[in-house]
Amino acid sequence: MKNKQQYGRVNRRRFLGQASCSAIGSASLLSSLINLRLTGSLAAADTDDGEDYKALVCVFLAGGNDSFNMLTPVDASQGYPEYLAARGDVALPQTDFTPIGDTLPSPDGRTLGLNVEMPELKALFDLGKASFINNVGTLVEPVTKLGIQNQSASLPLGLYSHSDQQLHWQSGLPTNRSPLNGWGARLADLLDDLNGESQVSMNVSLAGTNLFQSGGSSSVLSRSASNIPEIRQWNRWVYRHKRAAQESILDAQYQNAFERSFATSKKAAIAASAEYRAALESQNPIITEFNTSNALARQLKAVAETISARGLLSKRRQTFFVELGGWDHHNGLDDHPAMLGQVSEAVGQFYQAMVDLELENQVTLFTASDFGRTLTPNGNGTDHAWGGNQFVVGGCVDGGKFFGDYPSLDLGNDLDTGRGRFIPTTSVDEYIADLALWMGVSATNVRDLVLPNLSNFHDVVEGGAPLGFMKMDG
Amino acid sequence: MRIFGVVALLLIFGFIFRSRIAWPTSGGGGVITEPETATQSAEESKGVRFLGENPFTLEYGKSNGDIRRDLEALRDVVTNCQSLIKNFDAFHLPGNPEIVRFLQGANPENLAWIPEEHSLIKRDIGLLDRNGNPVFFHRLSGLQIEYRSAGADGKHWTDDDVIVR
Repeated sequence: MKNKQQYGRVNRRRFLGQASCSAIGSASLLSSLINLRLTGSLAAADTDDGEDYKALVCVFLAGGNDSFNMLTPVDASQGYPEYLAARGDVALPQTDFTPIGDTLPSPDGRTLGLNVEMPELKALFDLGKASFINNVGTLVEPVTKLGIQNQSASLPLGLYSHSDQQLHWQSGLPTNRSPLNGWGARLADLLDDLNGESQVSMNVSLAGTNLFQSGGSSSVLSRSASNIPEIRQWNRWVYRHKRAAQESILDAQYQNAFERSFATSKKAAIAASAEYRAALESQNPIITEFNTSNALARQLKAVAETISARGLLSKRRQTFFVELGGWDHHNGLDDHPAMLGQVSEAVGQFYQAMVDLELENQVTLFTASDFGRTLTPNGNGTDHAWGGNQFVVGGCVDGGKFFGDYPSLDLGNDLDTGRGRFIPTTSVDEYIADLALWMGVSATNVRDLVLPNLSNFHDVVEGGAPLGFMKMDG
Repeated sequence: MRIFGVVALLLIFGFIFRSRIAWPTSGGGGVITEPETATQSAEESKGVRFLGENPFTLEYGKSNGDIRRDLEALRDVVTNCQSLIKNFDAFHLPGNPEIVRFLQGANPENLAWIPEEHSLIKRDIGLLDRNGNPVFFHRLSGLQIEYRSAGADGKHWTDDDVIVR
């Protein structure tokens, strides 16, 4: 009854109150967007040190990678027995992991092993070009198991659900049901002034629409791995009359704002497509061999081709989004090792391409995924969980290391909310902040504009990079 | 006066007829025992307010139904719960046992859609389908859940799974 009184009735006073709140909210948003553009120039000025080039490549493993079968404790004394006990039917033999890195710092002492299907990633780790970020996940604020049990903890909306967690990973706004933009887009708004005149966006997606790059003033150039975007027949002689008609429609002056906006966007897209195609076609082909039967490798090859054309596209900052689906392994993990192998192969080939382009220190690749998965099996596979393990690759990565605490796999521990669903010990915000700082965004802008939730975990202005996995002088 | 008498009789018959539909007596080999007023009283004594008849209490596991109707009934009460409990997607509800407990009254409003005692609810496992296998709550988004029964073979993620969204 109280609820009905509170929320059900709409009267004049309530309507006016809500309308005012809405207006204030909109004004605030508009103000933020204007500020974002203004401070973008400041950010550009801060980082304008010549001809440097930097790019971020997001590899999104859609569905929730079971990363505790990717990076696993393998020491016989404690780590592997705990793993074996927790994972039951989905546990892999100890010989399916190759020990990597130093033992975890005392008093932990465990040794971690990488799935043997990932030799390329192991090689990069051993070379000091790759590192792991352990037990990272979406968080609003630091939470404890007790806080969750007594319902006092503030949690990311739609925890354990696919679409919400993907949104939170890509927006960095875990309390927002309908985020207007992704953190990549906010980052682009701050950095795009470093780029020269070009119709081609600094954000390129190989996997269609994504929130990570969307919602900013810079649009997204979306292409497939095999085709450069183009209106079919647009440049063919037989189409010339239709093309002329289309162009006259787009060139017309429209009073209606939507029509005007549509015509402007469409013309920009056509021009960008033509410029992008011309730039790529004028480049020498990538000499690095990519396995074209590997879906992720095909996407990363297209990323490498775009990066190689950065000069013609007047780009000093770029973001890329690639995606590999099929990680929602409720029905068994039989193909999981092979999928890890697919990722490893593609990442290894991409890193080699960057070496061949002499850009390995200017491009950083990082992984993201909806969530980790339950340690205990469901009878077939594993279910949605929370914290998981990710990795970063690049010449500027402080490589061969583990960042963030690797959780104990002892079921029922203080991080286990049930079935081995671990409360993340590193937030997505902290993970992203290192990458944003490396790209050249100032600490103040990272805190205020790119990652408004970060201050709940770390004072980036006073304390610098939260995790420190990037060499900032690189 | 005569018309008034007829209307009164119709109201009485209508009340009796409605009562029979609402509280059918057990029988006919149904898997589930019917909702019990004693259980509801016990819940109310714990501060939980049982919301009365709903698709779950009327249909879940009943002998004249099937798995699909069961899951649709479950979906309907979850949808109703989402409309009454503010910010359903902000709670820690990873899967079957947690969501079932939430529907049994472990929520801020202490409202219950599902009775505390039910032959197809096992503590720590959660809600079972009419074959005795746990229903899988596949959380697609904060508010959209895919309800999956393992079907006749008792194995999830096989071709005979019954799926309702």
